[in-house]
Amino acid sequence: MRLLGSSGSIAALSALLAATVHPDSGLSPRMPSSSLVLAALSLLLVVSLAAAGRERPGRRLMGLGGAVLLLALGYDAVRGHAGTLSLRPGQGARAFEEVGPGGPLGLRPLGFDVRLEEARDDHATLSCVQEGASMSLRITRERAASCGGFRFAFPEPIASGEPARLRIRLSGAKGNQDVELAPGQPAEAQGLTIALERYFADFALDEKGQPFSRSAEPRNPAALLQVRKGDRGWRVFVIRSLPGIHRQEGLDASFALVGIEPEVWVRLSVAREPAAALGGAGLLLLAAGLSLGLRRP
Amino acid sequence: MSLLPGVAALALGAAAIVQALALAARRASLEIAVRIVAGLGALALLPVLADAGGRGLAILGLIAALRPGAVSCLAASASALVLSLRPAPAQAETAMALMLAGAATGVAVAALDSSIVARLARGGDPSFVAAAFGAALCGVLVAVDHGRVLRWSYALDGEGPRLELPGAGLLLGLTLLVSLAGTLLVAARALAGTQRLAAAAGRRLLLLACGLAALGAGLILFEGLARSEAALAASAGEVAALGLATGGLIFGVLVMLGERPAREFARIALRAESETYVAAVLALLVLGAAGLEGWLRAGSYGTPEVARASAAALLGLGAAQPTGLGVLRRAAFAAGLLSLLLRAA
Repeated sequence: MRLLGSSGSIAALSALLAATVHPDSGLSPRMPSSSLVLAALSLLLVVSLAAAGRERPGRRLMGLGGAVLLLALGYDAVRGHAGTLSLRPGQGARAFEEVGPGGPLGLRPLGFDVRLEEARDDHATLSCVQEGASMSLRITRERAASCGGFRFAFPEPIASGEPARLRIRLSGAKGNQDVELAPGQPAEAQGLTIALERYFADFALDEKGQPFSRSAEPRNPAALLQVRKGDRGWRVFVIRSLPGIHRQEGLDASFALVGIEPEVWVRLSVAREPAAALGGAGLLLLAAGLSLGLRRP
Repeated sequence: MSLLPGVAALALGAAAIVQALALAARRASLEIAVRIVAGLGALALLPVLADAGGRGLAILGLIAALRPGAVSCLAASASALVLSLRPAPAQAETAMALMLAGAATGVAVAALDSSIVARLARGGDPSFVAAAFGAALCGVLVAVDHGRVLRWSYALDGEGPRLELPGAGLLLGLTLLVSLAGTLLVAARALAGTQRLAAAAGRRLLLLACGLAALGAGLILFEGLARSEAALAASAGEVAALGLATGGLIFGVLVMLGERPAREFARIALRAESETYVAAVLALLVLGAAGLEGWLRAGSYGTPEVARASAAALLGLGAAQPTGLGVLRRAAFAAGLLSLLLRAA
């Protein structure tokens, strides 16, 4: 125990822990069970501080501070949560996608309702309904907001892979006409009813010749339309890079995809660290203990 | 390139060399000149206080001017060089933590200065100082440009194509060989008391390494400014590290060749200890501030900045322990804090 409480042990353990914790040292990802190693080293360091002799005042206070800090970090590691929440404007949710050290963990309930009221370039507004009371949270990239013990931060627009609206140019007997098409909302033009059947944000063909989308970004947008005239129906393929490529027999019109308004979702980071304040208190105790050991020259 | 931080880098670098001369030649009168030159350098850094990203480095420069030591002026000079080549961002994600880190770094390098002087005043072999800085220069030369100096090549790596500097590659490769040989010979003399001829050869090799390193760093700056300021700005950290290591070796060689400082060892050792404690406490406050700013901005204290600040605080805790290898532990602590500041700039 005397060896563990010696200044040399504290110095050595501090250096080892610093090398393990530093994200640029590259040690942590290479170590098997790095969390266990970190926890063990931290525990040893706290025990060393607590077991230190009486030659320097404040050492026991440092031990107490270290213990409180370690307890807080351990509690947050076990009972804390982190993940993401993706919503489109007007959409609500009661759960978020939790992420752990090993990867996604699935949906975790928030315990309350949230709804994305507004999404702008520099901020997002979330409404949070908890125990019957509603509050509005303004979240920017510089400032997170809290509700129900959870912190919401970093609103980031992401492409959902679906369109909010498509603009189709119809070239028929009556000339050219542009039509705005939204998913689930057919449009009428020149006697034709046009509906969106399927959309590909980044169109490609797989090895079997089947269409698929390589990504959610509208890099090579294409769509499959359902066109009806009376009793007759056709399926027309349109791709932005090749206007009018697909003509159907009996349909005296051609179609071109001229514009896309992609549906933008907002992804927020979600975190819950119930022992954060306790950790801060531990850190202050540690600093107080260290400053007690200061001797004036 | 920004003029005022460049002037500050020159002034603080000059102050460092004059301070080393004052220590080696036991000329206390030179220390007045050191204070004046370092003060001018600090004044030139004042406008940088307006930029949140460079505030910490500016505070480091101000503390170095208030408590000028060779190593602290060198560290401040290297930081000012980075600010000169790559202006600091106006906004920073951990502004408060960076300011505290600047103060902590200033005190930590002052503690390192005091430790070195105390060791020398106690009768420690000055060859160790030269050997340590020689080893640091070798380490920097191996690390820069992903180790290409080992292949006699060096380039500034920016966003565009690499700017090859074959002359600098040759110079730096030669510097590496010479400094490695000199360091090994001087360290052997310090550890095992080798033949006088070998010891003299080691000293001369380190002296040659100082000149070659200074030439190499100067060539990189000159060619970078002439051909691509953007590439030089992107490699500002590397160039500053090279400058810092070169300045450190010059300091080590001057101390090795000079007289033992006639100072009261106990008082200086106690000052080093106190400064280390203050820096360690400040490092803990940096950790707290980084955690708080992470919680406010990112909703969590589990950010990479907090991890780096934790490592620096742990090194501070280790440096504050009254045990062996004090100079080495304080050097690691100062390096950890300095890398925190330079990363944000």
